[in-house]
Amino acid sequence: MASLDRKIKPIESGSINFSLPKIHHDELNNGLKVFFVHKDKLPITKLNLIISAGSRYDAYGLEGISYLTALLADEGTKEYNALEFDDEIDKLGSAIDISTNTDNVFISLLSLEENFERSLELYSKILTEPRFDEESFEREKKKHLTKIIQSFDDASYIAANAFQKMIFKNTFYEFPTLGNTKSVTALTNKDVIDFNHKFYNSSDAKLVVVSNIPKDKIFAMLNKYLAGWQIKNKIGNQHIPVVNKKAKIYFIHKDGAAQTEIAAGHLIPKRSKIDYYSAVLANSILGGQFSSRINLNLREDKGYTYGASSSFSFNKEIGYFSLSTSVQSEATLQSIKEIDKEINGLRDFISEEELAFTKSYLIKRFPSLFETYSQVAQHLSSKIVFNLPDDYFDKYIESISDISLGQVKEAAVKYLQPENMLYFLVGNKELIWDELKNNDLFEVVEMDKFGNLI
Amino acid sequence: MAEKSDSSYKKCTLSNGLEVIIVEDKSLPIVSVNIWYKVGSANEKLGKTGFAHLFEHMMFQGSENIEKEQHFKFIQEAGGSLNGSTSLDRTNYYETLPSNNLELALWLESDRMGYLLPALTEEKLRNQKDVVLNERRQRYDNQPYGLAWEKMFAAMFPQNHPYHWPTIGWTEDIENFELNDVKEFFRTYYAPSNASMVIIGDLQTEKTLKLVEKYFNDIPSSGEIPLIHYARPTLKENKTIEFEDNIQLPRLYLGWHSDHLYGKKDAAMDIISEVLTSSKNSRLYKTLVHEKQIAHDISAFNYSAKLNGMFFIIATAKEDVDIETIKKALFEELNKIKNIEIDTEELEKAKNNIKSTYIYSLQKQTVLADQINNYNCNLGEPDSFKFDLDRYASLTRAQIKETADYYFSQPYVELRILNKK
Repeated sequence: MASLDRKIKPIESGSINFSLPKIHHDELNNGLKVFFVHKDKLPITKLNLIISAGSRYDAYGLEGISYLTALLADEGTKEYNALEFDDEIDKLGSAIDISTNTDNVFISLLSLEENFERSLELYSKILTEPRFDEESFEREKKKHLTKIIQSFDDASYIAANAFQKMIFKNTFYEFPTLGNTKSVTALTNKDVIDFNHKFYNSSDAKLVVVSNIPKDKIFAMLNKYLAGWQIKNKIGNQHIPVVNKKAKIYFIHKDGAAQTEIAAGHLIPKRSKIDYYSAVLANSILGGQFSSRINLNLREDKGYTYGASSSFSFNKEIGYFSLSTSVQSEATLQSIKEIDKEINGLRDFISEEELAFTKSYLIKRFPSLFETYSQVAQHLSSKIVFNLPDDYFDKYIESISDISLGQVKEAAVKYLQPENMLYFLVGNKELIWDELKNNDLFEVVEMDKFGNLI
Repeated sequence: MAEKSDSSYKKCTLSNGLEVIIVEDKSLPIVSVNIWYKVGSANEKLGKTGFAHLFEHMMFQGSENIEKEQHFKFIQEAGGSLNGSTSLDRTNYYETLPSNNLELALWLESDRMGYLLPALTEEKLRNQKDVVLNERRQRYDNQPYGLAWEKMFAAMFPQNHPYHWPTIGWTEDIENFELNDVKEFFRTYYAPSNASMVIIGDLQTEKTLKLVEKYFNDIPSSGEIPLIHYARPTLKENKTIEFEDNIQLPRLYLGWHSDHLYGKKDAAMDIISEVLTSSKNSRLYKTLVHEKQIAHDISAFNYSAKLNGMFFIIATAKEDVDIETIKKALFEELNKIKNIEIDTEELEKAKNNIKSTYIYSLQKQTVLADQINNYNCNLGEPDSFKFDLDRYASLTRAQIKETADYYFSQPYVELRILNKK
């Protein structure tokens, strides 16, 4: 065998064949919209129901109600109390999970084929016959209150909470999904039942189904078990204007902090109002993956952190740029300066090589995003949440390829706004306050751990 | 070259000792490469703790033919994802990428397996020491209850036992590593004969084997791998430790020694952890969280490693509940599982849950590759899926009771994390 020249990087061998999962949609007899993907690698079914019942719908003074309602939604049905219901699911080796974010509640089911029908029957009872008994209410509310207390031990939660409060100030996104001790203490079981009636039976609920079971068979089962679920309520959308503030550092002291946790960012328009692919490419170069400028600078060059990343994220009504890292206390101000430098740097210059690299990364990894049943369901769910066209996945690769360097530069200038960046720092005041206070770039103000100005 | 082949995989050993397992899975046009080096923090010594993990970081810093930062960049550019991890007994490196880029992965893995040292510099080491120190701060020092595990391990195993120290290492040791340590460690442990590589995905077995030979055949084998010497640890009596942390809810940790990985009583302890805390109806959860509402959360798990197993129960107290109250309620339940056989239904449920969790987890190729490597390195047979599930399926109620009685009758370590006043 000829000796191997290890200097030579191997080239790709041919192209790969990848066909995207085909999305079928249909409506059940009760009007529920269903998005179905057939996947037959394993005998698994994943359901994910998306309902507009997230924390943005919490009424003033009742913050946390959507979270508590989600906690209680599977605590029993007419027929079974909380423990009995859990036992029925458990016996099948299936799992039901309910989670909330600012916009939506997601009710998911994971089940093996042999136990799917019974699992679906039980799952449907969450929607048609929820229990909401007083005993479960008292228990879950205490759990909820304890969780709030516990969350504030965690530096990254403290930073994220302050971020949300200030960045989304004066919008219905400013409150944490968990609510606060005062608002949750005031909640009653009636509030939960009312919230459930009003928001869970929404006519804009959508169900994602990824399964090895053939379409006709699974639709027949869905129709059978979800027939009793009346969806009727309409929930309107509200528009949120982008109102950014002048760049500033908010500092929160934490006793014994071993590092400084940093969360930073600003608002941008909602997903449908921006040049999405250009923005994604710009962020990927800045902080969207391991080989991004910010991570290579703060980690691989300076050693200030274990990792740093940034992203453009989107609520239904508004988007935001965010960046997070946790850095060595002594390097706090220097890290902020480097971050600021990188953001300005991206607005000034992006090379063809960087763009080619990041395009290749995003395009070639695309097939691996559809490996598990849950991954497929998750991608389908985000397509639905953002109301993207049906050919979204089919066009993804083409959409990325078509973006020019000029468009990415334009997106960087438009959607990265150093003059609006708010930095939230959770760290040890003794170690970093003097340096922070005397910095010549940003105004610095202090907050308590709940994000209130001191 | 030694070979073994059946319908599900091909296994062979190169002349330098590298074990190679190839599995075809054509469900997606991707391929995973997963390498285990049989070295972990258990191969370290006091004063040099954390080195296996720091070394893992150095493996991503380039090698003779790969510049710094290029290892990540090449894989990412090809649409791949990659990482590595260090545990007590092994260090793994893995990447999943489009199948037409398999050769790229083999080129990168072989270059650092054979030719890492020429690319080492003081600067790279200094940089990665800083990164690891920040990893330690972020994942342990700055996390609520973050130091609990290293305190438990240090109390459960004596100083001369290789599980005494945390895998991330003690801060002072990390600060003191030198370039020579890296070189010596590489020469001692990163030999092909101390490694096992699994390749799974949309590939052709024979073609893949040719590629493996092309990139790995010329890597020289090295001397004997030093054995780990240790005495079987025993706890003579219960140990209680208290530690004050910046937390608001006190937490109780209990730890017992249990059987080593794939040992006779290993599977039974997994079943016991299921019975105790896997669902709302599990015994400890139901009593302490649901009914008495004295604990905010509770979890039990069996962590079985190569030299020894550990069984842990962790409970966080509700506001104003004393740790002692929790401990009392917890031991009442442990006494029941020691003295009375669990129900048939409970046992079946635990078995089913373990089975379905296992099947769900194998959906991801990278997890599957790692599991095959685990079987190969620990059992010598890559296709041990049936064997593994049968360990659970065959257990009886009497065996569960006997195992619970055996381990829960022995001394344990108790750690109380308390609120810093």
